[in-house]
Amino acid sequence: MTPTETLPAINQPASIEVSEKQAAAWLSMARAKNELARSLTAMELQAQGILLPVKDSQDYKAIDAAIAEYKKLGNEIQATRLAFTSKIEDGLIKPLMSYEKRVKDDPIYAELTARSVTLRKDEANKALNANLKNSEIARFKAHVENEGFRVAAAYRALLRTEITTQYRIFLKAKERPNLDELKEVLREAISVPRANKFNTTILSGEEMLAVYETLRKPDYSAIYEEMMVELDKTFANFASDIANAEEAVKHTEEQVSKANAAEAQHLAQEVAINTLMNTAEAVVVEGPKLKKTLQIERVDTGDWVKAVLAAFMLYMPQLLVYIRVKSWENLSVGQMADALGKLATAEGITFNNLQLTEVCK
Amino acid sequence: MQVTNTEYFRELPFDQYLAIPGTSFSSLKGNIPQSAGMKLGTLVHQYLGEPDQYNWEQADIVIPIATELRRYVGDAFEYLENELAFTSLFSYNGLTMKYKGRADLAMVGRVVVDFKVLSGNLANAVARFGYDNQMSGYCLATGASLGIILSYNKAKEKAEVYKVKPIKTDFWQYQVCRFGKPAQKVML
Repeated sequence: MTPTETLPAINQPASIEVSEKQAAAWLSMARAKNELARSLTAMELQAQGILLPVKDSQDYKAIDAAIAEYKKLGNEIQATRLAFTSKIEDGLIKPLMSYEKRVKDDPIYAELTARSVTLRKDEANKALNANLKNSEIARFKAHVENEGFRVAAAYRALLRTEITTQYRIFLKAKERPNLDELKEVLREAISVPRANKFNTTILSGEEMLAVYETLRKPDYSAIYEEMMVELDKTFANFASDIANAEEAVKHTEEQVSKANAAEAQHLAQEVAINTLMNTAEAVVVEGPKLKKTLQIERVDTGDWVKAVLAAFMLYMPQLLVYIRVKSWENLSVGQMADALGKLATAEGITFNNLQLTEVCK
Repeated sequence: MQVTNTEYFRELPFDQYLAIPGTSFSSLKGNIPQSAGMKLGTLVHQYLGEPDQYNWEQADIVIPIATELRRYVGDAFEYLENELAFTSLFSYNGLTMKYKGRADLAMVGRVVVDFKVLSGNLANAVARFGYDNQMSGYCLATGASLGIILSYNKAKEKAEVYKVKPIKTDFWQYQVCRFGKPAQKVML
């Protein structure tokens, strides 16, 4: 290609040839149209001429005769016009509309549209189920960890309370215990409280176990050892406390009460924060966009019409926003049913004796 | 990137927070005139975090939004600190930048929650406005392992959540390169 040559412009359409026959046909139609317009003008003038003589008449027979002739001519005008425009309708408009009709009615298009909806519905259902499962996983995680906090706090509280009880008993008996033996007694007597069960609706036992293995759990042995240090501290001043056992026990019990209250407060905080974090961390699967609307199912019976009319009357103030008609007298039962469907979609209302079907796009 | 010298300011009025020297996410965005939508967001923040400052403007809209946001946070609302302001030194490649931030709700070392009131979808807003970078700044400064951006979608009339985890440092490393100074020149 030399610099002087240029590529054809992409947006310029290829020239369409018009045959002589086609050109002659259009010319003939133009002539026919002009002739028709002349005829129709003449007929209109003729019609006006029929009414003029009786314009101010008080003779009803003369008026009726003129009106009858006027109407007859009006019908002839319409028939004359139709003879021309119907040819345009059949020869030009309908054939040109057939392209869009075939595109709209293409079975492959219909099948693909339906398939797309089916596939998206499947994906949306999968996403919904995945999200329900992920939500249950998040709740299970929160439950396990929160139960861990609760049980640990309860175990500490049980040990703390029992230590105080033992301290009171030994002070009253004025007998210092063998602490190692006491510790073993407490180890045997005070069991770790049971965690509450998680009620699963979706997760299987295996799935729950897999999640459970990943979670932090309290170290109850460490808690026991921590409380045995508390025991040592409690009994450390036994020799001094014997002198005033009652006050000593009262003081110890107050300390235990404060410690348990602080533990309860800390537990509430941990549970709340843990629940928030687990909820926020739940994996969310985004499904495909699926527009769902409700439509009133059509039933070709008088009873169905009555049901539509009754529902329309009942909900009319809310339905006005969904009605678009040029003239209220043209409002059809079908349009009423459409409006009821839109109201059901927007507000979840159902109607007596009318079935709603879900349509997905 | 290193985060050091974090200082916390509790119950600090907003105008005093603004006067603290430091680079915040908002300062990086520049001065944007407040729209009606932003005004509503401010009112919701006030009602939730500084109720004594709230003048009951647009209460019919503010309260339902605040209710929905508070419902999501649940019992944790009671234990998280409101409007916690903080400054930190962000250091990277020999440069240090003083960072400042103010989180709507926070528990130091655990979690930060930031509220938004949006006309539409949160994920789109995060992608467009970089709210995840804003949140990563909060988390880096406070040592939180999880950032929760909790928004109210006005179009759908519901709360939406965007979690920030793990906490990325890329954005703030870049800001340190832009605005940081050699370490000895940074005023604490």
